Amino acid sequence: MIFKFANPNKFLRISKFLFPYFNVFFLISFVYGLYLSFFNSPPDYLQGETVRIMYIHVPCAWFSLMLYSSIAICGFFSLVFRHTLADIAIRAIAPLGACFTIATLITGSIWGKPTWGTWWVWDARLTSELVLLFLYVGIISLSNAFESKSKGDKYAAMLSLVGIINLPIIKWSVDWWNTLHQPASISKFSSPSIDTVMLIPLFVMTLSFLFLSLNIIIIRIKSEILQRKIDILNSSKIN
Amino acid sequence: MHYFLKFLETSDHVPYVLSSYFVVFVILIIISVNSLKRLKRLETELVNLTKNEKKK
Repeated sequence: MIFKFANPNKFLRISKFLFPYFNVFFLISFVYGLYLSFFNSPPDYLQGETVRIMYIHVPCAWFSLMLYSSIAICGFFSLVFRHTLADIAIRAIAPLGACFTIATLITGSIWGKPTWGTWWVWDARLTSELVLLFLYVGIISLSNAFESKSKGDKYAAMLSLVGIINLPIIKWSVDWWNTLHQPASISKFSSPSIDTVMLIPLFVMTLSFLFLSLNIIIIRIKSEILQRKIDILNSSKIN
Repeated sequence: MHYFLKFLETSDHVPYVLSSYFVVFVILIIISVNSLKRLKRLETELVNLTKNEKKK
């Protein structure tokens, strides 16, 4: 089933159909999310107005983790089944994941100043998120470090699988160690510790980031497929 | 509107909130524009290459 849809040409056809819908969904959810974040959500009783940073910081953090998980899954498919689209997906997703991680670190730092009184502390959550950024940079660097693309893809896939050990560390760092970072507010859907009036803007913003991410990934995968076609044409010219 | 006006009144928190939103927008705009530009460049490159191949 997966392999049926993991054909580059089929992917291009499906993505061409979905791309405009994702654009529209992104615009609607983003504008609505911004409206809810600024006009329809109250300040926090403890953090005051800075709680509004949550609506942008938390989705960035979630996507930094989710995109890494998808890279690791692609890494598995690349190493075990040698699937070309998995290699292409790793190259396409890694820069976006790195961007979300940078955004998470910067917005977290900005949120930390008024809340904790400092821009940065070397606590478990912040440090493990920084390690995630280094993993993304490592994957991007490894994919482009070799003259042979397949060699770069192989090492990038290996690093993505090794780096997956960092994901549970990020997730449970706030429970395992004594950190400045607050524990997860939404660990169980049955009893989230934040009010619905704050939960809805958070989910709407997350949804808008999902559609934006899907669009950027589609564009980047298309570019990678085109790049490979150009490489094949150029190499046939030389030969 | 009431929450937004109240938010604008708390001048000490406004710069933190707005700068964090600004940073995320800038990062996402950069990667979107960068990805689109690369796609356009590769599309024209491929079209030119296939044209040259056909001429031969």
